[in-house]
Amino acid sequence: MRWHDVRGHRVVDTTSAEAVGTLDGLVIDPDGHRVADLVIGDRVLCWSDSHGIGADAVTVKDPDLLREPETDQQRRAVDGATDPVGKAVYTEDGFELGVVEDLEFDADTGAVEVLATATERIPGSRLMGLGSYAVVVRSTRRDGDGSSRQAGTPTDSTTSSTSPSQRDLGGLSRDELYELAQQRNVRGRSKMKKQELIEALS
Amino acid sequence: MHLLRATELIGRPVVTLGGESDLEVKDVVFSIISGRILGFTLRKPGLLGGPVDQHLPWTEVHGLGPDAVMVPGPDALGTGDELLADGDDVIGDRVMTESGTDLGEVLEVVVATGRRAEVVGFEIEPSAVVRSDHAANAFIPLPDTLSISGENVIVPDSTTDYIGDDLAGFGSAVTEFRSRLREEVV
Repeated sequence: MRWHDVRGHRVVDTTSAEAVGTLDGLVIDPDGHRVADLVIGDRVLCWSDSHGIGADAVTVKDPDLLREPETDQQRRAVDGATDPVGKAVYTEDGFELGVVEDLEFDADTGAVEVLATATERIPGSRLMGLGSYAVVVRSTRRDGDGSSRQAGTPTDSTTSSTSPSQRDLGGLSRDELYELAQQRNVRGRSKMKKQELIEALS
Repeated sequence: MHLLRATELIGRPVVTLGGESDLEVKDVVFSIISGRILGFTLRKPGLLGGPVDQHLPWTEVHGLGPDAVMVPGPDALGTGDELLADGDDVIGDRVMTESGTDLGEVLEVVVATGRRAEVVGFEIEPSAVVRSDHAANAFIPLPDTLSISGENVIVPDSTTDYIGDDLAGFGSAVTEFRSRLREEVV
């Protein structure tokens, strides 16, 4: 389900059949990589309390399920501060991957599946943080799980052991792909476009 | 290994893993003793931005790349002047081999980015000896530990075999140089 397609949907109370608001935002839990609540006006609706997000409307069984925001995360989402659309995506090691244009999530579970930029489809499982400035995602570079240090640690960057599938490669920036190509000594890499790098590395 | 010049980090945002950023890098502070980066001074971004009484110690950096310096959270920033360099920085020092050949003058510090960001080399204005074989600016890899006096940086003689002409191919030179040094120790 694309956020772009459901944003602004009417929220309808199925008991009275009356509209109680519009779907204005999402409260995203970056640790769980999922939509935790829906923002409806200045109130929030817990994902599990929504009856469903349909093609034309969000339905809710009881308007009392819409609550005032309580957590900091909810308040910031109601203020619109944490809407990922329009924000830059940074990896945890300081590479910008572009600006988020849309968000895709599972209509049943609320799991964030994809953060889509103009050129990348970043898996939602990489989500680390979502703030008023940027979206932060896990790095896919192989040194991404090491601790930060400088002297005395010889880097083993030339010994590539992993072989990411084409699907994984699609989540990398051209810089990251180029680096992989460097490590594998792919010929003609400097003139390759992103898609060509993905094919050469697959 | 993705490499960049340390000064390219100036103006880059300091971003928390939670996606917040109020400050950007004002300057990179080097240690004259180790030749390494001590941390960053910071400023507010934009036209009205000025210096702030906060800095980012190197040890608090989560990851560092061409587009941003990433920190775990707002607590990573320190206040006060404890970050002040322990002397002049390494820029302008002469690079000398152990057997006494002058390789040139330090222009820039080269940093390998990532979660294990580190200083891996210098960009130098080569001396006449080096210039005969290399381009206008040359890159020299650094060993894990360095001797620096404040005027001179002393590097192993074998450094001369790994001098690079551009940043693009320099990463592999660093890796090869360091593995050779390790073999020599064994």
